[in-house]
Amino acid sequence: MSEITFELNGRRVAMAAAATLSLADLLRSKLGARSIHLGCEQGVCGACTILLDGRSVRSCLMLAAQVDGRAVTTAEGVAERYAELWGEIESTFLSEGAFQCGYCTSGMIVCLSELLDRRLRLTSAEIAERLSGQICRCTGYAPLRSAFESILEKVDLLVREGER
Amino acid sequence: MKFPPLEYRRAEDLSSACELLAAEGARPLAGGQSLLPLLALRIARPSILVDLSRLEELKGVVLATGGVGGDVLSIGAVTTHADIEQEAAVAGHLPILGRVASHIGHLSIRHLGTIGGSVAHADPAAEWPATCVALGALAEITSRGGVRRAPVAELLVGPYQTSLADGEVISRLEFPLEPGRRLGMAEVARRPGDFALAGAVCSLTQREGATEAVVSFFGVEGRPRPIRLPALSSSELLDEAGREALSHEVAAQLEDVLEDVHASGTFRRHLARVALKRALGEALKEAA
Ligand SMILES: Cc1cc2nc3c(=O)[nH]c(=O)nc-3n(C[C@H](O)[C@H](O)[C@H](O)COP(=O)(O)OP(=O)(O)OC[C@H]3O[C@@H](n4cnc5c(N)ncnc54)[C@H](O)[C@@H]3O)c2cc1C
Ligand code: FES
Ligand code: FES
Repeated sequence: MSEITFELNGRRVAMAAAATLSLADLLRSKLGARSIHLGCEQGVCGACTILLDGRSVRSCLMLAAQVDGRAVTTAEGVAERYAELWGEIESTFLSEGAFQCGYCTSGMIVCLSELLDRRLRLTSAEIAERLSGQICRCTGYAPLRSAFESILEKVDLLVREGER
Repeated sequence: MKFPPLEYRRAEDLSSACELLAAEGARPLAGGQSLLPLLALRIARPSILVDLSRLEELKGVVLATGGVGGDVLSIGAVTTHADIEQEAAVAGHLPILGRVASHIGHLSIRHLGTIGGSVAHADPAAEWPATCVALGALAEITSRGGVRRAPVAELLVGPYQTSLADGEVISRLEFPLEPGRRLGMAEVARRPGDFALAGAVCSLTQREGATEAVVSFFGVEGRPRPIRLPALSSSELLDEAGREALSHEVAAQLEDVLEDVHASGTFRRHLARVALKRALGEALKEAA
């Protein structure tokens, strides 16, 4: 067991964690962060993506013990942080058909949050490259790409064709 | 998939890491992006993981000038792929390293994975080992017994195998800076972020009117090795037909080319040629 203290979506957590526990299991099973989905547990699918000190990482490829002293954001935290934009994000995902079963969605939201947080201005091709790190078995990606484009456009982070 | 029983220890500095690693069954954990999947699959069974990921002394890039081996760009082993991509010292002195880093996996993998972990893991399809080989990089290796240096090419002995002894840590990777050297890399992968089906790194140096090249491949043989092409004439390099012939000559020297569900040996040998021609093309675009 390791004693760990960290921040989860802005709130301090102090607890003991077994050395064999993954960060993904800690967040979902012990702390109730149901947005953490496990697809592959090998770092490939991106369903378990979180922000660690603001940078996207796979929570299945970290030990719970490694999170001591750091700050974690899950999709729940993204919804809180972007409370004002959240309705817009949800309705855009719906209208574009950017999810079906929803298994990949929280990873997608965390991936989107990383772009919003850093105010990265991206082209459509760069958005596609980011999405290549997140597997979706349902939508065929084009609707996800349009949803990302449309949300980024609203906050002035989309680079239009010919602009760069 | 769950991790097997193990003990987790976080090292506070390099010397305490070496102490912890002297224990039976101890193994370093850096970014965990290769080791943790191996644990989940029960391919690796260490009893103690010694976490190096907080060792600030092994992070970052420094320019070391005036050493016996000449100037080197020295990269701390625990520097992440993503940080190497962003490093000003890399952009200024060896921009190829930033391009190499950007080809590794996806951003979320690059945020945790480290250069030292990649070299120690010795995946034949990985970008860093082949890059270290073509550029003649040395590994600084630290253990409880002291510090030694070895060319990365000598450290890599086979697929997923290095000559590191138990208790040894790669502490830094040192890339020699040779004025006038031109460098190129190229890889072929089905999608961005996938491991390359084949890739090539080349280094060109002008010597007595001819060009000396060192080439290494990843995803092609069981380990990257330096293939030296001692005296290339300008016609062999500068025109397309010359490079085509050269690529055939090099591909003919490849041994035990990897074969798996992703690509047959024949296809990989072909892709190695394609990658080599592109890497040479990139190097030739650099000013001599
Ligand atoms: C989905 C996915 C895609 C990937 N795609 C690519 C890719 O395209 N190209 C690529 O090259 N890699 C790829 N990787 C692997 C990634 O680059 C890893 O970061 C890298 O192979 C290992 O680095 P690490 O820091 O994570 O090491 P770890 O996983 O922590 O360790 C790997 C091995 O090295 C040992 N070790 C670690 N650090 C040291 C050290 N300083 N000294 C001695 N031994 C050490 C460990 O004990 C272990 O045996 C991918 C990984 C994933 C999950
Ligand atoms: S479950 Fe973590 S990347 Fe697939
Ligand atoms: S919506 Fe089903 S996996 Fe993406």
